[in-house]
Amino acid sequence: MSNKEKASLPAKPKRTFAQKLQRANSRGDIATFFMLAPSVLLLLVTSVYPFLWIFRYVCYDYNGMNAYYTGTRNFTRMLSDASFWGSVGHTFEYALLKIVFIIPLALIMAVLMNRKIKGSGLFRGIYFMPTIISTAVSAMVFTFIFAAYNGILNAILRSTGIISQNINWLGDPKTAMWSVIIVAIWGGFGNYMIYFISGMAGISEDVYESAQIDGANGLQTFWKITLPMLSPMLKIILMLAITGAFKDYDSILVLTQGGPNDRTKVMFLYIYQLIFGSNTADPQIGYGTVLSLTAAVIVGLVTAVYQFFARKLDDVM
Amino acid sequence: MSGGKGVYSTQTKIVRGLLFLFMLIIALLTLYPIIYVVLGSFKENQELLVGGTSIFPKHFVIDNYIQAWEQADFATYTGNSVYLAFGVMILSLLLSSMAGYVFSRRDFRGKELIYGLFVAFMFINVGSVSLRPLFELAIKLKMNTSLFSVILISAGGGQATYIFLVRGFMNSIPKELDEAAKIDGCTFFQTFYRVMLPVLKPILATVALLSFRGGWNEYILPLVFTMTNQAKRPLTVGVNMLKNAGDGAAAWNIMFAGATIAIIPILFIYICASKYFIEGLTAGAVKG
Amino acid sequence: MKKKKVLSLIMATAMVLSLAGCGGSDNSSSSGSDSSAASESGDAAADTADDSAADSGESAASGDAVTVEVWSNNRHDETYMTQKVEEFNSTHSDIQINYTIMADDWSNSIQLAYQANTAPDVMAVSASDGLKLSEWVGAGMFESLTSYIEGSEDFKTVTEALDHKYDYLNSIGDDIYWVPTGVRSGTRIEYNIGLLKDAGYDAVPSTLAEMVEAAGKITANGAGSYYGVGFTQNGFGRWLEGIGEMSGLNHMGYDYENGVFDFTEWAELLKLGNQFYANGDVLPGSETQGVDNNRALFAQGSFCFWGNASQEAGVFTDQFPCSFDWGVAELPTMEGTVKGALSCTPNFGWAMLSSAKDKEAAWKVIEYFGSEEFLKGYFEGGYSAPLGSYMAGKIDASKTGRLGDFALQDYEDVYPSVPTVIVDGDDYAITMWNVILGNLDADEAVADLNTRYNDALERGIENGSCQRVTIAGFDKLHPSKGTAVYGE
Repeated sequence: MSNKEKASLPAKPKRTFAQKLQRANSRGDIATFFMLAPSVLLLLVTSVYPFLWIFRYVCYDYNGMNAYYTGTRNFTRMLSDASFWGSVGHTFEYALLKIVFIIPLALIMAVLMNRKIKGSGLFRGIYFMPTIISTAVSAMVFTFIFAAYNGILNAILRSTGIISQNINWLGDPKTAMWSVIIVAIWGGFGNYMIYFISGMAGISEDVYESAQIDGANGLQTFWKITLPMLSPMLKIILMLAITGAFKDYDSILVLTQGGPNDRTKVMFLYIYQLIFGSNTADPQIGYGTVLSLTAAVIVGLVTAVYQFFARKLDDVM
Repeated sequence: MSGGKGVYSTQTKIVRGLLFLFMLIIALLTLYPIIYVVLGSFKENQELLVGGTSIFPKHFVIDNYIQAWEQADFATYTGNSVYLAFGVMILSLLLSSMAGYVFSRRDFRGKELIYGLFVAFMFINVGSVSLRPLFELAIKLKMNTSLFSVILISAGGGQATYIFLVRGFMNSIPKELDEAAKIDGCTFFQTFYRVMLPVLKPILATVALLSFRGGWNEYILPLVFTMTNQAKRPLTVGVNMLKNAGDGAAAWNIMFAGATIAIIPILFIYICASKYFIEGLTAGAVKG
Repeated sequence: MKKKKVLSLIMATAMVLSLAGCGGSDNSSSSGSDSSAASESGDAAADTADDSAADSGESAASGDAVTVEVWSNNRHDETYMTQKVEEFNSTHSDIQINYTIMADDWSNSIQLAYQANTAPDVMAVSASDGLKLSEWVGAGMFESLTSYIEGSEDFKTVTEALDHKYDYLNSIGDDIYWVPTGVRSGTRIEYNIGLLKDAGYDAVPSTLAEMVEAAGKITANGAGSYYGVGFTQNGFGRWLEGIGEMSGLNHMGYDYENGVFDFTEWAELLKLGNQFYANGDVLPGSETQGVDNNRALFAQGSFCFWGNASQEAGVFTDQFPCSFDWGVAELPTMEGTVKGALSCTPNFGWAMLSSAKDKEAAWKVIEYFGSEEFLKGYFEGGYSAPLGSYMAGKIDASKTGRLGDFALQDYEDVYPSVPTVIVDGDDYAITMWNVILGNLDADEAVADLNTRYNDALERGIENGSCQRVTIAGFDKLHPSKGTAVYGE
């Protein structure tokens, strides 16, 4: 449509301003402008501006108070920073495992909630609850649950004979990643369930009715109707889940600080630690910025790959 | 035929029973840590911090609640949190419904660029560093002690997600609906206002719920913006302050009590909103 | 139809504008109510009068009291401070203190408030906050106190301000920026007397090797119900680092005599420290739990040795009272003799911000916080221990409870600031902790630290972010006594 307009514009050059305005209005251009302007304005102020502000420091050591010029050092440092590239690997591992578990679980729960079984309102409320508890408090509780010495998880697994010796869930490199993923699933599946429920609300009741008349059972309805009809939303939700999982770090920060031996250190956790510093290390905002740019590119690439496959999937379906 | 139906329904009953059991188990697993928080809030600090397998307090320490209530001004903090969360919600609803509609239904020069910008800034996460420039900007605008700035920044940071959701939802709605409206003589905005908004109800209900929670959970932002202005603190900030004991051990039990108190308002709001949320979901179901 | 279009457009803009309007008006009306809310404590009338005067450019200060804004990040002394501030306010008609506790994100908060011109006039400073003085002074945020100190004989006598000058910790050159009055002792071992006795020991061993052995015996006795030692997240700095310092290893790996980093000698200590883990004598998972969790576990007898500084005196008597007798012992060393100073942390000092409106009044407040009567009550309340000998002689030690067990030792001192380097990869504390956990080889780790820290030092000197410090004839037992030379 916009191409057509462009083509037709030179043909009728002598339109007065008032006419143009009117035409624009009747086409909805002015409305479009006003409907989009607030979002764009806020995007510019709250996202683009801080980004540009920080971008100034990519060639500096900046500790929040004074900046020291270091040239390209932040970039060369990144290339040889094993911690960072390790954290990239951990991010992929964490994001993949989280998504593989959380999306099906959320989808199943959403489908069950959608059947409007008695009490589903209560269940929905319960599943939603972890998302409103402060991370500091819930992480503390999970520290108790996972505790190697006196934790309830070990106690249950031992009394049922699944394990014979206590596992140091958060302290053993073999189990630490799983532990933080369990917490992530606990804290997040209610969220994605809500996304799915609202996505399903867009599916017409009639479709279900006709499916029922055709004698389809629950599973068939799910595969044949719910899933295909949900696919536009599913794609968006998956994208949100991917970007979300790549950017997660706050509960890991409280649970393991990225340990043991960097086993649960994900990109944005590392960046956070650089930017905020600690008692024994000064903030390194310049370097943190460079890493967050790289991290953004990585997440961007992942999403691009995902979009590519999502489109392919579209063609198939 | 009737026999077959009988078999079918017992089978259904079993399936339903199993599904219910599944939901129950997941619910219990989800609830356990929350119950831990609630029961933990009645423990002595030492008992709480030792952890262990017994989640019931040895004896119920009501004093945690008295202290939490006295140290934090819960009435004011709750009011601030509600204001903050509602502000973020209303702004998010406005922004995402309008922008999502435009992105889904309009073509114009630069659309891809703007859309790309939204996508890009979902990834470029400079996180908490962005606090500093934003705070400096707020100082220049003399908005540095205002919760309204927090609302703007929070809504601005979260809007991309909601815009995508609305856009995605809109894409699944047949274009015939718009065209019919257009034939009826509706302008672009009227189509949005009269035809699309009602259809969007389910997704907007979701946006409302999630953005409300987003505003409710904001921590670092209001922490900074209410630094010199204790009367403006929301619950998140107030509750986290409860554990500060300086040199000695932190008062986790008081903080747990505060966190438990802080669950109540949002749970209440959730239950109230839940009715509308479900109405929104069912009202939006497209016939046909 | 057209009217409707226009109408709907106006509606849309109005919706957006009204929202902004609502918020805006709320904002302006609330600032009025805040100032009255903030002045609840103390003299309300004077307070609000001052607030409005400050707003309108100080000219209207109609002879009323000046309010000095004081921020602290200490909550443990809240009761005492509030009481003392009230006392001050009721006896001073010209100066009123508005005391606020801001515990979270302390240094960031002050920096942001400074930019917003809402910074306090006076702020609490402790060496444990980790504020890099040169950066704060470089950013022009602190006011030099030297001339004020020189004008106040009492303050000089009581705080011994001129004797407690630590380069780049509280002073740069002749300029003193804050005066510590208290001190948090270096680390001690807090131990469960019963468990240690059961293992056949009367006292905490004097060498680390023996301590490892003792931990083994205790763990064996415990048979899974209790263990030898408990650490916490990033547990290296708690007490193993102190053992290194007292054994004469380079403080933070810095060789003051040559002005380079040298971690080499730490390897042996790390190997011994690793034995705790290799032998399974550490409370399982204690390294994944916070300090407070481990304190609670110690207090219920889950392990025998815990290491921390003087704040534990209050923790184990009031907060987590132990059900058993607990002792406090000096740290062991590598060879049984003290060869270097254990670093202690000067605390409870006050800095004046350069943005202070009435600097004379701000100084009066700092002077009050450093007065004999004020400090006597503070130390006797057990909120900190006196740094100088003057105040140490004035307090009634019987009133400080278990804090007496943590009294400063001859070998405790403040080390000169080590150059603040921006090091690639993990800092030394995390790297060393990884050795102790068994994730890294000790010799490789220290070699790697040497390279990374010295590279960072050279880089820092080059770009001007730090400077080399050397002390000729550095005395490891009295590190604060030497004369530091910067640059070269």
